[in-house]
Amino acid sequence: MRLAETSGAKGVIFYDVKFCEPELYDLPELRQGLQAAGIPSVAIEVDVSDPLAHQTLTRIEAFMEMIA
Amino acid sequence: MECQCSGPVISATAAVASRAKGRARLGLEEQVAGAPAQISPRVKELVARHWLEARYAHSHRKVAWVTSGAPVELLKALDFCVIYPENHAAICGTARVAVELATEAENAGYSRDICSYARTDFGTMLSGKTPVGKLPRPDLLVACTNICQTVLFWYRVLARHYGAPLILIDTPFVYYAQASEHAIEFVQRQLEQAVPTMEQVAGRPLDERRLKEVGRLSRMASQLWMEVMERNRHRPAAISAFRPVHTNGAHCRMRGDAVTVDLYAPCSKRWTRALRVEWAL
Repeated sequence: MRLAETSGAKGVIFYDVKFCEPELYDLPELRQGLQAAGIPSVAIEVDVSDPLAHQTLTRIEAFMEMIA
Repeated sequence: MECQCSGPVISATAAVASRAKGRARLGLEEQVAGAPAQISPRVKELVARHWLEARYAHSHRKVAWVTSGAPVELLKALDFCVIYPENHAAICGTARVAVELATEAENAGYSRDICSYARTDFGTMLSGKTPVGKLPRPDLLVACTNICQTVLFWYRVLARHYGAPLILIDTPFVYYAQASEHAIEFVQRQLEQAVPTMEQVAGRPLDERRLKEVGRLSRMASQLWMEVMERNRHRPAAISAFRPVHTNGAHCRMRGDAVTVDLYAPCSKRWTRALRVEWAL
């Protein structure tokens, strides 16, 4: 939260690697905290061996347009 | 097909065939060891009683949620009601409600890729739904990493949700038959450090005499259980793969209780007898 506030972030992208439990267990609470602070976020799940999918690019673009 | 002919030879053959058919219906254990020792109904009874007691635990005891492998002996000696969310999730699975509970967790944002035991547990945590009636809130959480690292992240979520203190026991992997000296010392130090927190939550000091008694019963149950498992070194094995899974329930959640020793003593005897009769060991 401090990082989001000090950097003046307008949004947060969670770029999670599939099955990464240390990140995935904290994700819901992090997103709730950001939502409560009025900072929109998006969770994008990727597999380490996968190339960047166009679906992912579209989601990031849509998110950027939303917060711009 | 029913035999329509009559005559002594045919009747005798039919009788033998019918007996063989009867025997075939019995499991290997029943064939060689006689009447069942009623172990499964006893396990069911013990587990049912455990959950019933847990439901009303808060009226007179503190409640600890623990992972498998957690030092339950310390908690038992401090009279905690010990709950295993992992076992609860397994019950949810057999009661066919795990999917519904996991969906509750997924709707709250937990990924489908995280442990299904954890998702089932979070489902109960968020919705209060459970097939065991009611799951008492934890006053203390104890996670031990001997089974997996996932429990650490899982129990951190529980600690934040319930506002309960979390004790973590980190256990090094044992590569050889016996843990090394420094590994034992490492775990021992963590256990010693955990005791003051446990005592504080329990609101009473740890009674050494009670701990020794719980430890003795726990060791007895463990040794009996190992005896039971050792039986399966024999070929053909005396015990099916499923039987130890559900018979182990008592050892997991009621280790340190006299009832667990009482349960495993006939198990061990029964399966020893089975092998002696059939394979003349």
